[in-house]
Parts: sequence; structure tokens; C-alpha cells
Amino acid sequence: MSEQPSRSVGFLVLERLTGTVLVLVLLSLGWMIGVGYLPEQASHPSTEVEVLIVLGLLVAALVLVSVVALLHTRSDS
Amino acid sequence: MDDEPRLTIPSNLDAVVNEVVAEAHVRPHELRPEERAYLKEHALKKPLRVLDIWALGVGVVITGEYFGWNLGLKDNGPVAMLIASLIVCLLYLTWVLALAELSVAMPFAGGPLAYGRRAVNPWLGFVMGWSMFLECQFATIATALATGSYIAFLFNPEDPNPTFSVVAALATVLLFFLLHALGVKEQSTVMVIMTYGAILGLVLFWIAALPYFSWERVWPQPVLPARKGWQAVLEAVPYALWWLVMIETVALAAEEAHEPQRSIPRGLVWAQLTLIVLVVLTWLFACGAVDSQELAVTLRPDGHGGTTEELVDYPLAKAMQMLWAKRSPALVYGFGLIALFGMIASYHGMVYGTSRQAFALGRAGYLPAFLGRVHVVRRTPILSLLVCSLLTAAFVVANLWFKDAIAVAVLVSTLSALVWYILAMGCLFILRRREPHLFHAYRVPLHRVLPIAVVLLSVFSIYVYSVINVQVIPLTVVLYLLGIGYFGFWAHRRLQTAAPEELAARQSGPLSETPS
Repeated sequence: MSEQPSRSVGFLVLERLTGTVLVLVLLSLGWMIGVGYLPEQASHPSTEVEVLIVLGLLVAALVLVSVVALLHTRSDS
Repeated sequence: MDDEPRLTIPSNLDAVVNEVVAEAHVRPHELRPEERAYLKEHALKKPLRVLDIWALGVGVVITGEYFGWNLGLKDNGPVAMLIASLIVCLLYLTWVLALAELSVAMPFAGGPLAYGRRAVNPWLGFVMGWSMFLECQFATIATALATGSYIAFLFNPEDPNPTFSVVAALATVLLFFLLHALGVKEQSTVMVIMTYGAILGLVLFWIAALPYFSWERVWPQPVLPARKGWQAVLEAVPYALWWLVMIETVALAAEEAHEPQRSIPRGLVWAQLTLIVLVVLTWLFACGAVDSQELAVTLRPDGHGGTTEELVDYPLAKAMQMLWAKRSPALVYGFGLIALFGMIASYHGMVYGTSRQAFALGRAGYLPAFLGRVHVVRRTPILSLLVCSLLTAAFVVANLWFKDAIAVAVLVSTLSALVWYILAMGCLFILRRREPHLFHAYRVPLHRVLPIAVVLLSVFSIYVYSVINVQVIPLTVVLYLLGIGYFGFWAHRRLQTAAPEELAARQSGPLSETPS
């Protein structure tokens, strides 16, 4: 069975950043539930900006988690 | 008697038993002779490697690209569907990483049964195993129905016959029961071929949709429906789950995986990343080429001068029909045939998942024991395959009277899945604290944050079921009560101590004692 290799400083920083972005995404889900009860805001000019921010957070989270997962999997080979 | 042919039992069963025992963290000398004999009689073969795991992961899920997700577009629009899809992609990416840690630590066909059993007690093991069984069984039903719909579409794209669709679905159920009865390695080869075919089908769709692509359809104004706002995203999430549900079937393959500590994490991660790319591109080209509402519903005359909305079971085929029927009917039919690869690849994996889960529950005594038997030579769980296929067939026939069967099956499957995702993370935290030695072979990155993210994303997804107007929650509750009732009144006094999941739980101390 393989042992987990020691982590580089760069990988640890990447993990921290990924964790932070994940937390932001989770907070945005809570916000989404709250604002979901305010449909009259849908045509508000800021909605498009809100959508772009949420999409940006989600894409960032996906990219960062993917990178961390691939690096982690490769280090186990 | 001397003239009767002798059955040849595989000679490597002792090696398989030793490997299962090692994976249960049990020393061989602790095994009683009758327990060793039981394991030998119920052993599965171990041929699966990284590519097989990847193919199983992608193949079992890829049907979600071909149908089901489109129902989330109804009255919600493409942007809401995109946001919901990315939330689901993140849930599943974090989920498969955390699942890999559990799966490598306890590589048994029981999967969630083993996790719950070892972490807490047989009751939690049953609830988690039953959750996954419901998830797999209803996903199988939905996919069988959708396969029948795609076949019916091929024969009459303008107005597919619902009765023919049911007959085609039943033929699919029968064919794949027979195929699965052959054995794991043969299934794996078929799965790899089908998966490549299904991916090819999606690429073909993207290329065919490209000439008709419009950014205005993908990014309309307003970006979210004026009457709903962000609620549209919430309503789309349960259907977005269908993109990726069932990938955890791979966890059940751990008992049949060669070097699971390597093949499971690598196979799962690559499968998930492949699927995320497929999700985004399929959404983009489908919503860019065709109005999103037409992908979700078809308006048909109701015979009284008005129209009725019919949910679309074959969105990509419908899009091809709308875009290319007049210019190139051959392309439409060709795509329809290739799309069947997607349906079949997933149906293949879903039958695998359903039968393995039923097998593991039967082998351990949590469900009727006959489900846990394997064919003497083929070593396949033929009786659980038969029961699951019969259940699927029964629901397929019921579709003749209940037209929303696919939507209900999709939602019951995804809701059941979310229940056991949350419970699995609870088991992970408990076992990490109590038995850290289980995880020496593989540990997930983002050690604490990632499982918490899985829980919160799953809780969020369950919450939104209360937002959508489909009565799946009572139905799901009834199914759980039926299972828990059987376990509580009958099975929990008749657990099989020699099953790998029970052997593994024996190592964890007082909580592992089997109730008398």
C-alpha cells in the first residue's frame, strides 16, 4: 500500500486557496436561497452582475479542486 | 452420477478470499472455517483497472447527457440551468474525492452498507445500502424508459409510439440481463466500447448544433426568468443532479478492482473531469442551437382545440430532428443510433450497480439471502440481476398509464442518492477519528473542508426538492419505510457474520457486535 507523500509548500498554498474559494461558494448558496424568495429582484440591473459573480466563483472552485485532485492523484502513483 | 458433467470452480478463489479478508483488515487466522467457506462461495472476481474504472464511471453516468437534465430548463431558462449544473459538478467532484477515501479503505461490493455498518451499526448500514439501492434501481428504470423512447423516436421521429417505446424498453431489460449474466470482464469490455461510442455521439451532436448556435439563446435577457429570479436556479438543481448521479457505482466496483488504492482514486477523478467537460459542452450546444423551452417540452394538440405540454424524453434527438430533418434525415437517424450507445452504456452500468448493491445486501443478510448467491462458474450475482430486472420491467409497463414516470424516477433516484452522500460523510468523520489506520493507503486532499463541502452541497440540493412542485418526497419516504420495516421486523436478527462488511465491522469494537 502506498504512503501519502509529504506536501510541498506550493501545494499547501493551493489547498488553502481552494478551501477559501469553496467556502465562498457555500456562502453564495445560502445567499441564493435567501434571494430566491425575492423574485421581484429578477429584473434588477444587478442580477446579471450577480449571475456573473456566482458563475465566476463556481468555475474557480471547479478549476482549483480539479487541479488539486489531479496533483494529489499523480503524487500517489 | 459418474456420467454427470462436473462443474469447474475457479482455482484462484483462495487468493480472492485472502484479498477480501485483507481488505476487511482481518487477519486470516481470525476467520472461522465456515466463514472462509461462505466467502469462497460468494466471491467476486477482481479484474478491473484504472481504464475500466474510468469507463465504468463515465459510462454509467453519460446517459444523463442524453435525457433528464433538460427537464430543468422548463420555465427556468439556460442560465439558471448552467448555474445549477456547475453547482452539481462541484458537488460531484468533491463527492468522488471523498468517496475514493472510503472506497479504498473498505473496498467491498456493499459500499455504503460497509461504511455505515463499520462506522455505527447495522441500522445505519442498512439505511445507506438501501438508499443506494433505491438510487440505482430508479436510475435503471428511468434509463430503460428513456432507451425505449429513443428507439421509438428512431422508428417515428414525428410522433413516437408510446406502446412501442415500452416494448423496446422491455427488450433492453431482457438483453442486458442476459449480458450481465455472462460475467464482469465481458461487461467491462462492452462498457469501454459503449462509452467511447456515447462520447462520439455527443461530439457529433456538438458539431451538428454548431451551425445553428446563437449566443442570444444561451444568454437571454433577462438572464434569469423575470417571474422567478434566483428561484429558477433552485428549481433546476434536482434535474441538474441527473447529469452526474450514479458515478458512485464505481465504489461498488472496489471489491472487483485490482489494487483499489490506486485504480479507484485515479479512475474516479479522471471520470469526473471527463464528465464535467461533457456537461458544459452539451449544455452550451443544446441551448445555443434550440430554444431551451423546446428542449424541455413539446406542445401537442389535446383534441379540444388547445394544447398540452409533454415532457421531452429525448432532447438531443429532438434538437437534431428540428435542425437537420429536412436537410439530412440520415444524420438524424445516425445520431439517434449513436445516442443509443449513451443510453446503453449507462443502463449497463446501472444494472451493474443495482445488482451489486442488492447482492451485497443479500449476502450480508440485510435483504433476502437468495440475492447474495453467485453463479457457481461465472461468479456473477445472477439472482439479484434477475430481481432487479423484473422490478425494472414492472415499472416500464406501468409507464403505459403513468406518463411522468421518467421525471419521477429521476427525482427519486437523485433524492435517495443525496441521503446517502450526507450519511457517508458522517461515516467518514467517525471512522477518521476512531480508526485512522483504515485510511493509510489513500487520503483525500482538502482533508476537512472537502467532506464538509459535500455535506453542505447535498443539504442544499435536498432543500431545493421542497421548492419544486413534484410529489417525490412522500413516495421516497414510503420506499424508505418499506425497507426499514423489512429490516426492523425480519432481517436485523438474521445478519450473515461471514459477509465482508460484517467481518470488517468486527474489527471496530463494541459497536460492531451483531444484534442477536
